Amino acid sequence: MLKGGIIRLLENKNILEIVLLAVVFATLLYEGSGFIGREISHSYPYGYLASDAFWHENVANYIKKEGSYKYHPPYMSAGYKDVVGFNPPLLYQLVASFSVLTGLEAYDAFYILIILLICFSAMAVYFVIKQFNSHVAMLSLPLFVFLFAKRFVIDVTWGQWIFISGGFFIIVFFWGMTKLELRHSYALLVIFIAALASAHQSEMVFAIGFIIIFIAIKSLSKKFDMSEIAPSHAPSFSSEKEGRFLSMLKNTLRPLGRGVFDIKQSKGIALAVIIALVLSSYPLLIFSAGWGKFSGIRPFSVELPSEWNGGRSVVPLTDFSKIVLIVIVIGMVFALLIKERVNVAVPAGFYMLLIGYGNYFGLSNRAFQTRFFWPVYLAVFFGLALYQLVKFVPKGYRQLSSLAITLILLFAFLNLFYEKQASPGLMDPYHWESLSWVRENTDKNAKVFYFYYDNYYQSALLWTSERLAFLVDRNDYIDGLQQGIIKRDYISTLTSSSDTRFIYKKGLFSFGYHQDEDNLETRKQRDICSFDYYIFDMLPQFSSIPELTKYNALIRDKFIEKDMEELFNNQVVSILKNNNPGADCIGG
Amino acid sequence: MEDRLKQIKNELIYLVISFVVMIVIFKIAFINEGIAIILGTVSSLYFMFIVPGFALLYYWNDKLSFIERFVLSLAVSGAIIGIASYYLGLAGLHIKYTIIPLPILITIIAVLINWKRNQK
Repeated sequence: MLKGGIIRLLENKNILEIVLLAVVFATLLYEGSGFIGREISHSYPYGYLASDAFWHENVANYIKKEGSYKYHPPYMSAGYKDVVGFNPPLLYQLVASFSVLTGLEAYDAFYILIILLICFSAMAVYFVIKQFNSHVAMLSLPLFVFLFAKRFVIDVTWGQWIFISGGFFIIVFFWGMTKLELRHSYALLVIFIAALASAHQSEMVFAIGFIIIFIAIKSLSKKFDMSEIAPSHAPSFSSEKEGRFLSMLKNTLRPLGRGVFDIKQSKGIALAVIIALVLSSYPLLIFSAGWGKFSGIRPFSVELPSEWNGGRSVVPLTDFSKIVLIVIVIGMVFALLIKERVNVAVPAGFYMLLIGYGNYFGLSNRAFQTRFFWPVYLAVFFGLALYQLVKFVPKGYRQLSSLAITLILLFAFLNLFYEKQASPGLMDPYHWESLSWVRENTDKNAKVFYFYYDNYYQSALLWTSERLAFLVDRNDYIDGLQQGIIKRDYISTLTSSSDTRFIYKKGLFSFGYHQDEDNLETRKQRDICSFDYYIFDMLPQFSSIPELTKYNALIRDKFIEKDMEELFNNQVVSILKNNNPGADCIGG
Repeated sequence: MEDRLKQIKNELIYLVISFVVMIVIFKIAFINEGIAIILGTVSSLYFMFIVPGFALLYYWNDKLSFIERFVLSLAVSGAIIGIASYYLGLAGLHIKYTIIPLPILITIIAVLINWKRNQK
């Protein structure tokens, strides 16, 4: 009876699919939750391993408080209050809204939403592949485990969050491309491309590039097909070599050309792109004057992996492990041999693989970011390779075989490649308490100076105090220590998001740049006595250079001697208030 | 019409079942978290990300399976709410005043679109 029940269940493909996807979703969520201590709510930002994560959290928190992303937070903008919200706004809006709705802190809401976006990206790509072949889709599922494993997970822990929203929407865009035959489905394309334009513009460019390339391939393959039907239309080859090349091109393009979409649909797709761009015109206008101008795509430039964070965060294909990579490559070979209609999944997989190597043709770090999502983009090849094995199984047992292989590999990969994050990240309760104290007890325009502490050099962390934060230069500080003196002037950095030079609106379509107009130097020598508050780290064991923490203590004692007031001390961090900024604070 | 109502009733039942399953999955994944926070998070997830998108995707219910619409609902809701709340914010409407009405409005519009389609 039980056996009969199981067979009936296996025959009901819908239920089987739902159960399987629920298992995969639960597995991915379980993996993701490991980076935040298997808790949703925390008393401080948990699992934040790099500055970028704090960068984004600060913007979302600002929107939650101020209500909109009209302006970039002034404490991230060197105090300028009119810097326009220059980062892609969509994810921030969603996080701020989700935070309001759930009552979670923005830093928790951000992490949960990022984990969910990754889980749903995996689920969505399953449906893209399913359109091609349901067995391949099922067999591709285990590869998703890598989304939270090896260096693929750096996009989560190091805060490449805006990219993740772009990755999610380009996957649903690919899904939309598989549904063009549905009535009014172009509305979905409009929604997804508009979302891409407000989520991460580089993925929008990749999506439009995908459309353009495949319209071109379609047109070419149509020409080739015509030449077969009517030899008189065949292009005349000037040489035998050229003829061989075109023949090879024809054989490669034809299967691709049969997939993706019908040439008749290209007009609708183009219209969808135009409507989406109009809908997103304002964030795109800011993008073109901001990120697009200062750190956009640089055609023909080469960026080596070692040039991005010293290469530590660049994912090579070998992070899949040798055996899994071999399976993926075999899948690619089979994909190239497909003669029938290939659907979106296969060309999209090759396309995103190529984009991942775009650092060699001008895409710089956008290429490296793309690699974080290779486990979803390349999943189709993994599934395709495994499917070649399943084909040997008698037809009646193929469903069961695919299911068994999927589940075995899913849990094997989880066991082999997934490692739970052991560290709570850059923040701890003591430093969070001190930064919160600054936020809650100082004037909004206060200038706060931070003396040495390792994690402060992931400087976006300091913006959680919501005040202008100046950070002592480590080398200059070491120089002071080596000389055995307390200097009046130290080199320090006004920590700020100066990537777009503090862009502000001058007119309806014109922008100015405070940094250029005011010749603002964020890093320079500053009078140490001119600040309102000073933050000292006091425990040498928290530091990689304990001598510098002892140097902190020397300066702190001198400041207290000179009538500065200690307003906060939790044994780890001490905060002094300068009642007379500008006056001598260190003595002869 | 009766068939359509029965179908909608079934879809609502599936949605409720998915909600319960989601709570169970969340509780397993976030084993150290209290049930109140999990309930609040999953409810907000459904209110903001699942229901509005799912209602809109119901337009293609004869071509897309329940689970496919469910998965894609997060994308549809997220895109519309993200873009709309951004522009409403620029127009001066604080996010705390838009986050409740927006998903409700999208759901109502989706119901009207589907109702109109069924009239044809």
